[in-house]
This record gives sequence, C-alpha cells and structure tokens, in this order.
Amino acid sequence: MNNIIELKQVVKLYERGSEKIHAVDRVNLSIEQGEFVAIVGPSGSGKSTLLNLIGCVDIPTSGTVKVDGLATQALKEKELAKIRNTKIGFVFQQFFLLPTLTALENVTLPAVFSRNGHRTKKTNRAKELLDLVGLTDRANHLPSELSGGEMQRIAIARALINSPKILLADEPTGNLDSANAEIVYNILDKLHKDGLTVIAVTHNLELANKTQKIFKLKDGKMMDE
Amino acid sequence: MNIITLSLKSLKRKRTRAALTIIGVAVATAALFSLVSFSVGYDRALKKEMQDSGLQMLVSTEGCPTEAASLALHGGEITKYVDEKRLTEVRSIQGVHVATGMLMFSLTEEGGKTSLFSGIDDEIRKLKPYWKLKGSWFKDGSSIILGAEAAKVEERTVGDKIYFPGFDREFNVAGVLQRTGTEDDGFFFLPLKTAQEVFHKQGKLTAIGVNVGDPGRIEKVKEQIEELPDVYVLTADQMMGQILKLVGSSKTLMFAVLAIALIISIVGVLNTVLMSVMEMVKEFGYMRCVGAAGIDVFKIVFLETITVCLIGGIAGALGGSVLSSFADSFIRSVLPYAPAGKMIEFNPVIFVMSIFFAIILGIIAGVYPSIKASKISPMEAIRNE
Repeated sequence: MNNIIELKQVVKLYERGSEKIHAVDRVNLSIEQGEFVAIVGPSGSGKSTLLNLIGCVDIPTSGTVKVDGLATQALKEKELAKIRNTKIGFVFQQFFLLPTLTALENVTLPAVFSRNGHRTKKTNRAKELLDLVGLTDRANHLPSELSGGEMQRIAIARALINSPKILLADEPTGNLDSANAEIVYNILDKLHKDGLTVIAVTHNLELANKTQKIFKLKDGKMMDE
Repeated sequence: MNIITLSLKSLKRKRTRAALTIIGVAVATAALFSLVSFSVGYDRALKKEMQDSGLQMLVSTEGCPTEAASLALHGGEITKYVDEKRLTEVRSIQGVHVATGMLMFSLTEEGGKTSLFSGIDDEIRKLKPYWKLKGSWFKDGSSIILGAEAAKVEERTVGDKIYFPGFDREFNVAGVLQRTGTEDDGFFFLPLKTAQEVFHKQGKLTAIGVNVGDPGRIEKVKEQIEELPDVYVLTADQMMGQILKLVGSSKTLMFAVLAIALIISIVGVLNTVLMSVMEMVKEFGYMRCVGAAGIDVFKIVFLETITVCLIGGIAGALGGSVLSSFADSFIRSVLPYAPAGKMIEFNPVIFVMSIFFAIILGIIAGVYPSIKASKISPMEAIRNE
C-alpha cells in the first residue's frame, strides 16, 4: 500500500533562552493509507508536536515530512493552509468550536475556507456529517448548549467536512467520560473502516490498543512500534 | 455561511464594544457632514445673496472694503458718505445699466430695539426684480414699505400707519415685501429724499449700487467710475472675496478641530480592532488549523472594521443631516459675516461622501489589525491552549 505519511529523520527543536529542547528527535515514521494508528507516550514526549508536524500546523527544524507525497518544509504557508483544508481533518482535545456559531455552522466552517463547492452543497454535507455523529437534532445549538461528548462529535464532523484523506486526533477522548470516549472511538473506527487514515495521539491505552498500530514516543524519540 | 457571515457573527459577539465604536465613528462623520455642508452651503448662500442683490458694483466713499461689502449685503451705518452728485455722474457713464442711490441708517430706541432703515429710489426695483410687493410702491414722501419680517414684528399691513418716536414721524404703509430670505426682510424702506430729510443727510448717500448688465463690461465701467472724486468701487467678486477671506480663518479653525477629531476617531477604531484581534488569537489560530489562509483571516477582521465604520458612517450622516439644521443658527452666531439664506441644506453628494469617508476611516484603521491577524500562525491556537 502507499504511504500517506512519511517522516524521515525529523527533528523539531525549540529554544528556550540558551536551552535547546528536542521536542522531536530524528523520528522516522511511515503510515499507510487507510491505517488506524495511535501515538502514545508520557506527557512531554513530543506526541502533539509530532501530530502538528504531520498536520502541517508546524514545520520541522530538519528532516522530511511528506503528506500524501508532498514534502511540507518546501511549501509556502498558503500551500500548507490548502493541505490543512483539503487533505487533513484535525480533532483537538479542547474541541475548539467557535462560540458564536451553531453546531451546523461550526461543522461547515472549514468548507467556508475552501474555494470549491456551492454553499448549499456544503450545508447539505454538514447535515449529513451531523447525522453521521448522531447530532442532527443539535444542529442549531451553540457550543455552550452542548455537552463535552457532543462537542467532540461536532469537532469530528467538522474535521470531515472537506472529505480529507487523513484524520488527526489529539487526545480525542482526553476530556470525556468513558461512555462518551466509547462513542468517539466507535465513530473513529467506523471512519477508518470506511477507508480514512486515522492517527490518534492518546494517553488512553484502551483506545490505543484497539488501533492497528501503536507508535511509542519518549523524550522526542520513537521507541519500538 | 461565508466570510461575511463569520465577520458579522464575530461583531455580534462584541455588541457593546461595537456599539461604542459605531458611536465614535458616527460622531466624527456627523461633524464632517455638518462642517462640509456648512462650508459648501456658506459659499453657495453668499453667492446667491450676491446674485439676488443684483449688485455688480458698489460705489462708496473710501474706507474698509469689508465694511463696504457687509454694507452692500446687510445694510448698516457708516460715517462717511458719497455726494449725491456722484449718482448723476455714474448714471451718465456709458455702459451703466442701473445706478441706484442708498442711504442706510439704524435707529436704536429706548427699549434697545434697533430698526434698520434704507432710503431707496425707484431704480432699485431693477436691481431686485424678485421683490414681490403686497400693496403698492411709494405714493408720496410719507409712504413706507416694510420688509416681511419688519411687518410681522411691528404687526402692520398695507394701509396701516406706523409711528417712529425716534424721529417723531408717522408713515403710511404703502406696501409689504413678500419674504425674500435675505436681509431685506428686516428693513424699513423709505423714499430716498424722505430718508435724507429724516436723518439730516440731504445730498448724501451711503452707497451707489451699480448694474452694467453684461458682466464683461464691469472692469471698463469700474475704471471710469474710479476717475470720479472721493469714490471707492468694489465689484461683486471683490465683495465676495473680502467676505470669504474674513470667514476663511474661522473655517480653517473649524476644519483643524475636525481633523483632530478624525485622527482621534481613527486611532480609537484601530485600538478597538487591535484589542479584539489580541483577544481572538486562539480562534484565528484555530481557523488557520482547519485551513483558513492568511487572507481569509484578513478578510474577517477587515470586513468587521468596515461594517462598524459603514454603520457609524450612515448613522453619522443621518444624524448630521438632522443636527445641521440646528447648527445653522449656532454657526451664524460665531461667524463674522453670515449670509441671510439657509447656510446648511441637505446635500446628497456630501451625504454619500461622508459615508464614503467613514469607509476610508475603516480602511485606514482596519489594515494594520487585519494584517496582524492574518499573520497569526495555527500554532498559536495550540500554544495558547
């Protein structure tokens, strides 16, 4: 199968005063299209930094990150934004829903930034996704009127609006109780079974163990698979 | 949903701040609308007053040209007089179409009430063809014609008698002028000979009003009149120039104050939008995470600023239109010379221009915060979290 994500000797270095911190240190990683993988490790091990590099939110200090065949460090910000918009869906631990937008509008948001497609088509797609995550009846509710589990399901629906090839989830169940965590996992699993590449950063070993592959990080370095 | 909706939703969230910014922009726009309306209206009213007066030249004795200009338009009393012989001489100059003598006097009575009198001859009717008279022209030396406002104040009409204790004379009201919107409305008009007798100025005139018909002849006729002894000739253009020069410094001061108000307004809007951008770093960063390009974030902030300024501009221009009618009497009281007609009238061009100005204000104030917002990296959303 094709590698949709490929990292070679990736380093991410942060400088804090005179101190240099290797958040990610010479990491090599390959993920095939359609895989469901988990990245695990203790706090500060560089999991989220690695996810940000894969998600084109950040660029490496050295090494190569290829997303769907495109080396991200060679791209301009505008092109990175396009990849984030069209190829990647991002789910955050803190949901990041805009408080002034309804659930339906939050789901539609990434589509607003994509130049393709008619407005009605985008809204219809957002409704389909709300149905997929079981929140059709909450379409016109504001985030302040939703529970944590509902907000995360909205965030997943939002990540799927532009039909991405990759879904990145940073601690998707971190703020949820076990019942809601189970619902979120089931949605991610269904999406993977439908052919989506799902990469989840998690502390939740129960979730990690259900994925196809687990990558372990420690002090920015990749441990055994 | 689109970028405009996003921008409006963001604005809706900051209602109080947006309302205060709108008020600031509205006040600046209203001030601009009123002052530009006044400036344009003043020049127009002055020009109209000049045209309505029918005067192309004013012949007086040597003195302050501004005083002469004011005299020609508003009437008044000056201590130097032109010899009445000059009137005959001016009339005999080739090219003079109309020459009319005027003797102006003011009389303050015991209660402090001041009445303005003007001694006029028949020729003045050729200079003021727009005069519409109720009743008749002077029938004899004891006739008087009242301006519309004077008749109203004195509660007199055609056929009534009017007594002036200041010079102990009673007159028969032969006619009342219909309202002209000029200073003429407040005058008591007497036959020239009667005025000279009443005010003990036989053979004297305050000024001679001259019309030459074709404006091309003004300079040539002026040169000929200037050859007469003890006269000073002022053309209508010179009179207007003198008045505009006098009022110019007041206008400059007003526009300087306006410029300061506008700068404050721009800085105010800029500060508000910048604060808003700072508060929304996380949200903009998040939008970048889900694929918003820098230009998308720029558009959201910029549209928000333009919307605030547009609403403020429309409110300000509307408010200015209403308030400027009240401002007319205030401005009149502080200016050294104000034409009698309405100075501030609704002008759609100025209305649109004021709104356009508010948009320009928004563009100036919005560019920097919008650029700043567009440069927020997606990492900032995550980092702040």
